[in-house]
Parts: sequence; structure tokens; C-alpha cells
Amino acid sequence: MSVSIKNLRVSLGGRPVLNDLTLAFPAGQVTGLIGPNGCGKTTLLRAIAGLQAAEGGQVTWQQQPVAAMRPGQRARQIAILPQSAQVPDHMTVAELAARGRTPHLRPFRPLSGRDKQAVQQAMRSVGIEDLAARPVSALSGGQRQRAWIAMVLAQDTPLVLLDEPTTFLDLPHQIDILRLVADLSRTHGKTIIAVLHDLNLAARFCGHLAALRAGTLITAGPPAQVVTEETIRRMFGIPCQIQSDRRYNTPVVLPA
Amino acid sequence: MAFATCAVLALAFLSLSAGRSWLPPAALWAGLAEGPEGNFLLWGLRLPRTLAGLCIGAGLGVSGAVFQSLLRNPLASPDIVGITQGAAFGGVAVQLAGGAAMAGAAAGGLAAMAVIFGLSLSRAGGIDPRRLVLYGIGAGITCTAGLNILIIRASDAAAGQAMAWLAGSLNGIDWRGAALAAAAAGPLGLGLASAGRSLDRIELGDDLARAWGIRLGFWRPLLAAAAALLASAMVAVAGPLAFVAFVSGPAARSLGRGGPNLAGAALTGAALVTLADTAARILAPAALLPAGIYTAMIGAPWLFHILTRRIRQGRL
Repeated sequence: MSVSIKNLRVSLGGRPVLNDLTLAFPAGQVTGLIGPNGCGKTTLLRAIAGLQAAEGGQVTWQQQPVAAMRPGQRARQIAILPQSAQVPDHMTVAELAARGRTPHLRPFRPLSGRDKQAVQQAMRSVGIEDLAARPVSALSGGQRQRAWIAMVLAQDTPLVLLDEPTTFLDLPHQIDILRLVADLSRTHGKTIIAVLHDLNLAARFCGHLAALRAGTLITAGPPAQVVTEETIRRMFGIPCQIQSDRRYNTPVVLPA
Repeated sequence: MAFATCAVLALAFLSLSAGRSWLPPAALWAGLAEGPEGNFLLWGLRLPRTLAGLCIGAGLGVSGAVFQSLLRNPLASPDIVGITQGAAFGGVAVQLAGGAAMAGAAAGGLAAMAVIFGLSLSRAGGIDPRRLVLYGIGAGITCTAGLNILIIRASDAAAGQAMAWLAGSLNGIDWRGAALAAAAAGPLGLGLASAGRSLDRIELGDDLARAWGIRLGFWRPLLAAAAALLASAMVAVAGPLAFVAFVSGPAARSLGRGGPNLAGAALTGAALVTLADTAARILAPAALLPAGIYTAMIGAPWLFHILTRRIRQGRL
């Protein structure tokens, strides 16, 4: 297990958000974090990234406590795409992707040849190298999300955290981004943890799911074990039926 | 950028030539060649004034651009959020008490910054830029009210001196003033400029900056304090020249590639102050209007422009 969380407790403004959470994420796979709004998914992701201080417990990445890592070292291990990140006006796709190289740059030196190569490679792997000179603000929602993912890939970290990478995208673009994410994990061997809302897409594209509710873990495991009538009822408080999509052999939720 | 540098140089020469007696280029060169003993008009009056104007403009420009990047908000410049007002209050208070205006201004500016940053701390530990702008405007009004009380209670001579200084003016700046401006603008400006890359990353958000290994908890207070100190020192020398810090950063962005451009902000600020001071001497030489009036005439329409654009975009 690459990311492991032990008895993690986090409060925001005096309100407990994560309660004694213990959970582990498999290496080299895409894990989907699912659960209702406000259940602590984003807080958990920020805690894994070392951006959220914990009151108790710890997060380790490859046996190393994240809180004890030096910021520069952590930045070469863990990349995060926060929710609703904003691009400054006029910034181009290539400029945004190049920002991902920040932890690899030497002070007062411009991008090295290797950095430029990594930026090119990142834009190529998400298929937007043709748009390199375009301003990010002029792109469609799906293209813009690819530009953000290129930035995260350019950081070249073994662990990648994505907070709602498919929110505000239409269905084809959601599928497109999730297929890309699954490919990246398969071809680059990256460990990816993504907060997702669409249970059916999460079940289809993630190798592993973790279901949260009110800061506690309901269950975690392969989609077929997690997406059950019982879990959905405990997570969202609604009854549903589960069928199997025979093409992909994944569960499909049919809410009542 | 090359254009901006040339424009600043041209304005500096214009500023040396302009005044009650106009020096054509030939006389200017001759006067510069004569040296400090030979030509008092140039060496004793115009040269320190021009150099001080360049330093003060550059210092205010950099300070404003740093605050705007740090808080991701064009309204967060020191002259809008009460830091220059705090410096002015501190400077006048200490001067009336018989101390050094520079020390008072630095203390006042830093205190104003500490108060508005402290009030704008969100629960998660970050700074809420919108809250900061609102608290800052309040802090500015409070400091201005305090200034008025000080001036009303002061003797006529001291009050007159303080009023002239408060309008923001380069009138009567000597080598001592120029040296003070250069001594503050040089090291602080260069120090802040060396943080350009971190400021660029902070513009994309606190979480991303921290995820890239930038120690935000260390850099943000340090950069804010240095920028507040820089603006306060400039205020101590020439008074609160209105809107220079506010206008320079956004104007410099359009010179470069759209990101934070501290060198550009320094050039823009230097050009603006030199232009305003030269205009003050050419347009109404007898009135000795302070340069701050001219920077305000440029800056106020700019403020309206930014406010209306942000309201239209639904960001205010």
C-alpha cells in the first residue's frame, strides 16, 4: 500500500471533518473517493497532499510521514489539482503546464532542457500539444481540464491527487478525462486518487473505490465490492438497485 | 520592456530640463559636466529631485505589484488598503513629537499591515483577499481621521508643513531625501524582485503554491512586511503620492506576458512619478502644485475602470 492513513483526525473551524479515519490506497492504481457533499473528501485529499494539518493520526506515503517531509521533497513526490483552480488572465497552455515544473527548478534559473521536455511530454500525454500557445481562458471546459492535468503531470510525481477533475464537464468530456486518467495510471505507473461524484463512471474507470460518509470510512475495495445497495444506502441514505454492466463487468447504480 | 526603459530615461532627462528655467539639451550637458560646485540648479535641486522621483516611483510600483500578486487582487495595493495612510499617520505623529518621520512612517505602515492581515485571517489559516480589501479601506479611513486630529491640534507652521507633505510632493527634495529613497528602494526592491517566481506561483492559489513546495506561511508575511516597509519609506520621503502603487502593477502586466512583472512595475512607477512631477513644474510653475495631484488625476479614472470591470465580471 503506497498511501496509508492511520487514525486521521481533522477539524475545520472547530467542526470535526475527519474522525479517526484509517484507510489505505493501492499503488499504481486509480482510486475513486466517493461520498456525499461535505463528507470530507476534499479535506482528505488536502491532508494526503500535506496541505491540511491533522489533529491526530498520520498520513504516510511509501512509509514516510507526509507531515515530516520537507516541502521541496514532498513537491517532487505528490502533485495535487485543487478544485476550481483559477488561471490568471492571458496565461497560455504551455505556460500553465510549465508552472508544474516549479519544484524541479533551480532558484533564479529558467526552465532547463529537461524541464521543457517534461512540459512537452505532459502536453502530449493529454493530447493538447497543438494548443500550447493558446490562452487557457479561451479553451473549452474539457480542453481546460486537460491543460490542468498537463500541469500536474509536468510535476512528474509518482502520486497524483485530483479533486473533482470531471465536475462541470458534460458526459463525453467526463468519460474522456476519466479514460485519460486511467491510461496515465496504467502507462506511467502513477498512483492516482480522484474525488468523483458520478458513481457509475467511478465504478467503470477506477480500480479501487473508497466510500466516505461524515468523515468516516464506510468501505473500500474493488468497485464490485463497494458499490452495493447497502453501501449506497449508508452513504447517501437513499435506496437503489445495483445492476451489472456486462460490457465492462462493473456495477451500475439505479437510484429508486 | 525596452520601450519602458527608454521612456523612463527620456522622462528623467525631461525632468532635469524642465522648470522655471528651461534647460535645452546642450545646456543640460554643460551643466552636468560642470559638476556639483559649478551648477547648483542642476546638481543641488533638479538631480536629487529627479533621482528621488525615480526611486520613489519604482519603490511604490514594486510594493503595489507585490501586494496585488500576494493577495490575487488588483485592489489590494498599499494605497487602497490603508498602509500608506498608516505610514502617513505614523510619520506625522512622530514628526510632530520631534522624532524622525522615516521611523514613524515605517512603524505606522507595518502596524496598519499587521492589523489588516490579522483581521483577514480565515479559519483555515489563509488570507481572504476580499476581506482584506474591506478591512484595509476601513483602516485607511481611520488613519486619515487620526491624521486630521493631529493636524488640527498642531501649530499652524507644523500643520502647514504636514499638509504640504500629505499631498505627495517632490518639492524641496534634497540629496538627503534622494539618498533615503535610494537606500530604501534599492535593497527592498531588489529583495522583493528576487521573489518574483514565488509571487507568480502564489497567483495560482495557496494550495498549488504550497503543493509546489513554496513555504507560504514564511514567505507571505515576509514579502508583505517588506512591501509595506518599502511603501512606508517612500511615503516618508515624498508623502503619499496617490495611486502610483495601485496603477503600476496592472499597467506593467500589459507590458510583459501577463504575469506579475516587478521590473515593469518599477519602471511604470518611476515613469509615472517623474511624469507627474515634471507636469507639475511645466503646467503650473508658479503654483508649485504637488505631484500627488497629477498622479491622482491619472489613478482615479483607473480605479473606476477596475471597479466597473470587476463588477461586470461578477467578482466584486
